[in-house]
Parts: sequence; structure tokens; C-alpha cells
Amino acid sequence: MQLIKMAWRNIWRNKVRSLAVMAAVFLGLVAGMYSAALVEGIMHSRFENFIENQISHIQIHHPDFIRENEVFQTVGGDMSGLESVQKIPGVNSATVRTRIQCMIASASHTGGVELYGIRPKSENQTTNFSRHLVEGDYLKGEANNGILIGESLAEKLKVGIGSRIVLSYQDKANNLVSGAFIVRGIFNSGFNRYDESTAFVFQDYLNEYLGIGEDFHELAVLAEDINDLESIRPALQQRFPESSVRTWNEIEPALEIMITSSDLFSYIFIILIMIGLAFGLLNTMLMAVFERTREIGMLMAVGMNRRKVFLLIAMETLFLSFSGAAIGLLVGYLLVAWFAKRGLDLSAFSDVMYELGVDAVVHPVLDPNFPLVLALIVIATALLSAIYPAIKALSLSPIEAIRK
Amino acid sequence: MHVIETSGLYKIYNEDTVPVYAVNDISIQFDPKEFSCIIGPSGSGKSTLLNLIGGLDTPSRGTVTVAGKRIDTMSESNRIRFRLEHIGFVFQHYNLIPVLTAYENAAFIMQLQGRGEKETRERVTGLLEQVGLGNRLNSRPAELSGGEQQRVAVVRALASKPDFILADEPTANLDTKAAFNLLDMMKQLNEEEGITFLFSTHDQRVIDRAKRVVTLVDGTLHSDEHRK
Ligand SMILES: Nc1ncnc2c1ncn2[C@@H]1O[C@H](COP(=O)(O)OP(=O)(O)O)[C@@H](O)[C@H]1O
Ligand SMILES: [Mg+2]
Repeated sequence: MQLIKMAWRNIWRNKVRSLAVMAAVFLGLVAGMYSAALVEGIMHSRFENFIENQISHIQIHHPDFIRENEVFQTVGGDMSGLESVQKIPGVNSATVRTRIQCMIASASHTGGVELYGIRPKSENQTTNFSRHLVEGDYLKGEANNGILIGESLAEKLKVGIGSRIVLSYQDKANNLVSGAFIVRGIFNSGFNRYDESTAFVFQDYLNEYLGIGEDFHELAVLAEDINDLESIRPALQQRFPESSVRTWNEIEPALEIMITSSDLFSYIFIILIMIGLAFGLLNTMLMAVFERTREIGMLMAVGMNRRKVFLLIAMETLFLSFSGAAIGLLVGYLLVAWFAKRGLDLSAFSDVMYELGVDAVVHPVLDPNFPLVLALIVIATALLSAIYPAIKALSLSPIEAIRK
Repeated sequence: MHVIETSGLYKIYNEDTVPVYAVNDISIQFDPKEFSCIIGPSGSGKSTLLNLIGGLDTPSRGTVTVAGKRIDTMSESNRIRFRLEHIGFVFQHYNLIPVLTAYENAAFIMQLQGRGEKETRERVTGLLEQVGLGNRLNSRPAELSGGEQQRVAVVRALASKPDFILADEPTANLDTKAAFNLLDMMKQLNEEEGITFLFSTHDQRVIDRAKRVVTLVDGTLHSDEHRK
């Protein structure tokens, strides 16, 4: 009890120095927590965008289509198939697509694109695609020869809204077919490479050219909850027994690795901050021990045992770090919570954010375990930096210390 | 039985190069309730001898027996415990813990000993009142005069009921009046509480208060004079 009181009062002997250390711990934690949450938020936004708006949670294909991409490798079906998928519990929405490789040509340029024949309404429910439009309109009305292309592709082709472009592709029977399309909308998804190589048309219109009736190449499913996919999968597999049913992480294994490594990044960042703080603490406490050589010698002379001397110095280190850390964790948590709710408007950097495929308003995300893990890291750091000064204090000899 | 007994005691510094005999073959005994003073010029070995007797230092040769126990052969941690239970210390300066009040400082050793709170409070307050510090219980050392600080240090040593109190030049930093006051107080406690005091000084003014005066010269025992 006496020791705790002494330790606490000792840290206030040099107010400025102690406050500086506490402030450093405080700022380090707040900054660490906030930036970790911001990075998480950016990553989440990026991955969410990517998963929800591009690959969706689950995709269904003809088993060979994934590798071979042949026009005839369709999943057979009619629109009642799509409706039945949409009724599966846990499914938020679903859409079907025709997907072919084709040549795209304007008056000035020719290139290759991946052409999607989509059902505008269900597509938009599933991928919210229309929000990427920067010019013109989303596909609307009866099936017609409208086409949506990416902004960067439009630049390459030197075309705008209303321009006429020609697509050439093979139909089901391997005949080369060409068709003229009118640019109705230009989109920017935030992923440049995607925008350069992707175009969208009405599925019904495309299917007629291809001669594949109501078949499709891809069925994309957006679940209510990304954590529920395994419970939806069997129902889908049952509905399409011959087809391949894959979840987002099977479609893009690299994505899962990136998500985990963004967590890792946060921890590495925090640990770097902590190493900096540990040196600050160590330095401060060594100074404190050095300044009090005589006093500590006197304590040992009058009979304070080594365990208590050690505890006294160690407790001072702990108090010093914990008082800053406790407030830092609290403020950091509240700050992140506030911005998580309100969102941080980074539209000033919208170019960069777009490049990253991230929304302009970022919501910092804090892994619920993060503050706890952080507290443990702080405790470990404080304990480690408490040991050396305390051992240093023990190495003092009472007579040397008392000698004038 | 003697409370302190040294026999053939040596403390030699730099034994391999140019030896300094800080304490040179001293055999001496002190009995309970003595009020003794070690004098001698600066460098004569007073501090070294007191440190050996107090178990703060280990002799090069010879033995130190305190309350019937050989302390020269004890392990470091046993000596710390022995000092806590058996020996009271008053140093020349840096006696008190700056962050504790006069009362907390005076009670410090009793608390280290694990004495009960009530016993500690009664004894410490009583002693502080007895030495005229009843109204300074909550003052920090920095708010006390040098003389008051030394009195708190004496109370701290005394409160823990040691076998004797060692005081190495306790008046060195005090003016004449404060020095006399402190010595009178120590002498009074010696008579009333029956506590053994062994202190060192090279201050002629306070030597007269001692009942026994041991004189060191160059680490050797020069004279040992008992007074009435
Ligand atoms: N650690 C040490 N190393 C070398 N010599 C020392 C050491 N401590 C004390 N001495 C020497 O021992 C002698 C006695 O010192 P000390 O006991 O402090 O004398 P006093 O207290 O009477 O002034 C002195 O000559 C001093 O220089
Ligand atoms: Mg001395």
C-alpha cells in the first residue's frame, strides 16, 4: 500500500517529464488506433466494393466455363431459375449474366473486351452498378442495342454518349457475328483495368445474337450476410447440380489473403509505435533512477528489501504508461467510433481514392478485439520497459549511494 | 551481553595496489543503553567503522557481532532483513523520502516491518509529539528545517525498536542551536526509552554530550574514554 502511494507520488516529482511521457503514450495510442482503423476502413471499403459490386458473394458457372470461356458452356435455365434463387433464405439478390470475349471497334480504335449481357434490374439490385455511371444513363426500357462502357475505354475509343461502336464475337455455333451498339452510358468503377476492359449490354439482346435462348454463363448471388455463405451454398448446389458453385474467396483467393494482411499491418504499425514508446519510457525511468541514487540507497540501507525496491521502480513505470494508455485507449476508441458512424470525408483525395477503388467517405473500422489486444500490447510493453530500470536500481549499493 | 562487538576488524581498500587501512584492527564492545560517540579527524575511518557495524559494508578481516549474531558472514538479503529488524539508521543527509509526509516517513520502517496500523500510528505520533513535531505530521521534508528533518529521521529509527541506533555525523549539516537540540533530544530518548545510540562526529561542541568517547586516528583505536 505504502509502495503504491510512493510510486504514484514519485511519478509526479518531475511533472513536466512525466506528463510528456504520458502525452506520448496517449498520442501514440490514439494515432495508432485511429490510423489502424482508417486503414482497416479503407481496406474494408475496397474489399466490400470489390466483393459486393463486382464478384458478389457466390457465383455459379458451367464447370468448364471458368477455364475455357466457351460461348456454349452455359448454365441452362430460364428466368424461373433466377426467381427461385432469389427466394432462397439468406439471399439478398441474384442476377444472371451472359459473358463473352469480344472485339470492340470505333472509328479510331479496336480492342478486346469482356462483354456482359446483363438483366439491368436484377443486376443493379445485386451489384448496384448504376452508381458508377458518370455520364449518360443506365440500361433502361425494353432490350435494345444500348451499351455501357468504362470511362477509360471511352477515351481510348474516342467515343461519347450516342456514339456507335461495333462488337464482333463468335456465336454458339462458332460463326463470327458483328453487331452495332450505341453508347448509352459511361461508368467509372474505380478500378481502371476493369473499366478499360469491360462493357455491358442487354442480356436478351445479346443472347439472341449468340443463339443461346435464355441460358446464361454466370449467376451471381449477393447474400444478406457474408458470414452465412456456407448455409446458402447447398441450396444453390441443389438447384444447379451440374454447375460449379463458388464463394468469393474461392473465386479470388488473393483477396482473402489481402484482408488478413491488412489486419496484420495494423498490428505491425501499433507494435512499431510501442517500440518507440518503450524507449521513451525506458529513458525516463533510467533518468529517474539515476537522479534518485541516494534515496534508493537509503531505502536499501534502512532495510527495504530488493523485491520492494524492484516493485517500487517497476510500479512507477507501469503507472506512467498506464495512465497515458488508459486515456489514450478511451479517446482513440471514441474517436474511431465517432468517425465510424459519421464517416471521414476524403473527397479532397478523391482521385487517389478512386484509383484505390475506395469510396470518398471512409468509415474507420475497428476490429472489436483490437482495443483489448492493444491493451495487452501496452501492458506487455510497460512490463518490459519496467524491468531494466528496476534492475538498475537494485544494482545500486547503499554505501556508495549514501556517501556524500 | 554486548549489543555490538567487533574483533580484529579491518577494512582495507586497494589491498593489491596501495593499501588504505580505513579500519585497522579494531576490537571494541558497546553495551545496551550506552550513549557513545566516535570522534576523529576527517578520513580517520568513522564512517567505515559505522558502516561495518551497521551491516552496510563487509570487513576485509575480523568479525562483527550484533545482538549475538555474526553479521559479517551474512548474505546480502539476510543483512537487509537484519538491518530492518535490529538496527536504526540516521544519516548525515538524504534521510527522508521527499514524497512522504513527516508522519509517513517516521512510520516507514514500522510499515516495512509489517507492524499493525494502530500500533504504528500511536507510537509514531507519540514520538513525533515528544520531539516537538506534533504539529508537523503532514509536512513534506522540503517544508521542514534541517533540524526538524533529522528529528524525524531519529523518530523513524527509534519507532521500529531497534537494538541500537547508528548516526553518522547527524549534526554535520545543522547550525549550532539545531545541533544541540538534536543531541539533547537523542540523549533524552536514550535515557527515557533506554535506546542505545552510537554516533560519530568531528564537531567538538556535541562531543561533550556523550557518555563515552571513542577516538579513531588513521583507522586505529586511539582512545576509549568513559565519562560520568
Ligand atoms: N570506497 C573507498 N575506496 C577507497 N578508499 C576509501 C573508500 N571509502 C573510504 N575510503 C578511505 O578510507 C578512509 C576512511 O574514510 P571514512 O571512513 O569515510 O572516514 P571519516 O568518516 O572518518 O571521514 C579515508 O582515507 C577514505 O579515503
Ligand atoms: Mg564520514
